[in-house]
Amino acid sequence: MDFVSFLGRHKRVFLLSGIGICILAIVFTINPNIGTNIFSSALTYVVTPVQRGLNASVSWVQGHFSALTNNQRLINENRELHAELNRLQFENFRLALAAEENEALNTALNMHTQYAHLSTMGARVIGQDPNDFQRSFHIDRGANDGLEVSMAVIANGGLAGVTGYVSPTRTQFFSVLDRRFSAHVVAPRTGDLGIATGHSAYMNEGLMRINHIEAAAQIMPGDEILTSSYSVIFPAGILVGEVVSIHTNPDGLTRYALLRPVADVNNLEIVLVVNEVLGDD
Amino acid sequence: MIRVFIFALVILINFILQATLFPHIAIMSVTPDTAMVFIVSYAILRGEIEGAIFGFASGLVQDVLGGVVIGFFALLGFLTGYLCGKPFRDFFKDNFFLPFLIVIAAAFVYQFAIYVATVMFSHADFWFYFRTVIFPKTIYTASMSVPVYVFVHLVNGRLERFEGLRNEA
Repeated sequence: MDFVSFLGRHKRVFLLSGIGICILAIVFTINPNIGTNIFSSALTYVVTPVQRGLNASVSWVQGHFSALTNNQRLINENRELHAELNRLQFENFRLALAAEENEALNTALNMHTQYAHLSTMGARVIGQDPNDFQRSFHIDRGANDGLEVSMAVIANGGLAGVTGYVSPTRTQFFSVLDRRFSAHVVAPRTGDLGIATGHSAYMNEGLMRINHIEAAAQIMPGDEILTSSYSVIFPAGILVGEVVSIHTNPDGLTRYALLRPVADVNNLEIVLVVNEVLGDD
Repeated sequence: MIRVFIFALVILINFILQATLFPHIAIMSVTPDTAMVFIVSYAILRGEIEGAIFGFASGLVQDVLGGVVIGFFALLGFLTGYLCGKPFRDFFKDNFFLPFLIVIAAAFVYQFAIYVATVMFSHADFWFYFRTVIFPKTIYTASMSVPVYVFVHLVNGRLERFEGLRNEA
């Protein structure tokens, strides 16, 4: 090719120009709130439908393959699920009674469910970031559907992540296990506060870390953790997970806890995006 | 032109596979980085200039579709393509052991660079990351080097024959 041989004659210029272009691109796009650009718009229109289809095919094949190979496991699982169903039906009945009582008490106390009006949008997880130092995913909704940066993502009834990079037809969200994720949280039993973050050291174990817990905090393993009203991104009261263990920092002044998120991050298929940004009035 | 079209398609399909299929074949929560193997294979077969362009394009796709900062993976791909293409162009192309060795070295440096850029400044426990990501990912990626190299070698050979015939005509 003539163009390649031309570049071959000017290797030093080619090398320096390439490095220079990349560094300039990094400098101009290092702001994480960067909007969409022509490149991403064009590419995402091509890639998103293919990725959506392929992901569906992979799930289908994997589902059938595991059904064939794990017959005994499925029989056991079915038995366990039947037992779980019975238990849940009983629990459901008990909760329905509790909900009625709760509603009556709320009315009596003139309380409002602050975020009951929040609107959510369903989205399908169509891919995962290949970078294994982080844990972020792609969903098949984007700016065209009204999504923006810093929207809460919910799965399995709990917080699953936050939207990061939004292009017209797809969105990358940082899962709760990703080190770029953080949320102000509270343990409702004790009122103790902390910052829950993804932490690379615990990511593969499926755990998060809650930092900045006071040394005198009464929080203990088994406590449920919710997003707090101090959060500027997440609506208060979204379930994040359950405390697994508590540790004291070397300085002795603060503690940290390990948290198992309720969202099954490694098996996400459908998520809900709270398509309202807090503070956007 | 057909070469550009075919390898652009290869880059795009590889990215889609990495984002969809590969999480299902993860070992120790680590997936193989086949994009890097494609860059190394192409650079060995076509030299540093085309290797660098291929690496730049492949990295750019990853930046645009999977990353937040645009240019980081493009820079890594560009340098990987240039450095792997430069000294190895004249090696015997049918030797599959050479790409395997180069991929091990390149994958290690590549993962180390990602560690420096994304994790080191906030959580500097290198041995932890070496044990859990860099080392297993290097081995897993290297295991993909022979099939990917064979594929690129095959496609490249057909394209070179096609280009040779067209030039004669």
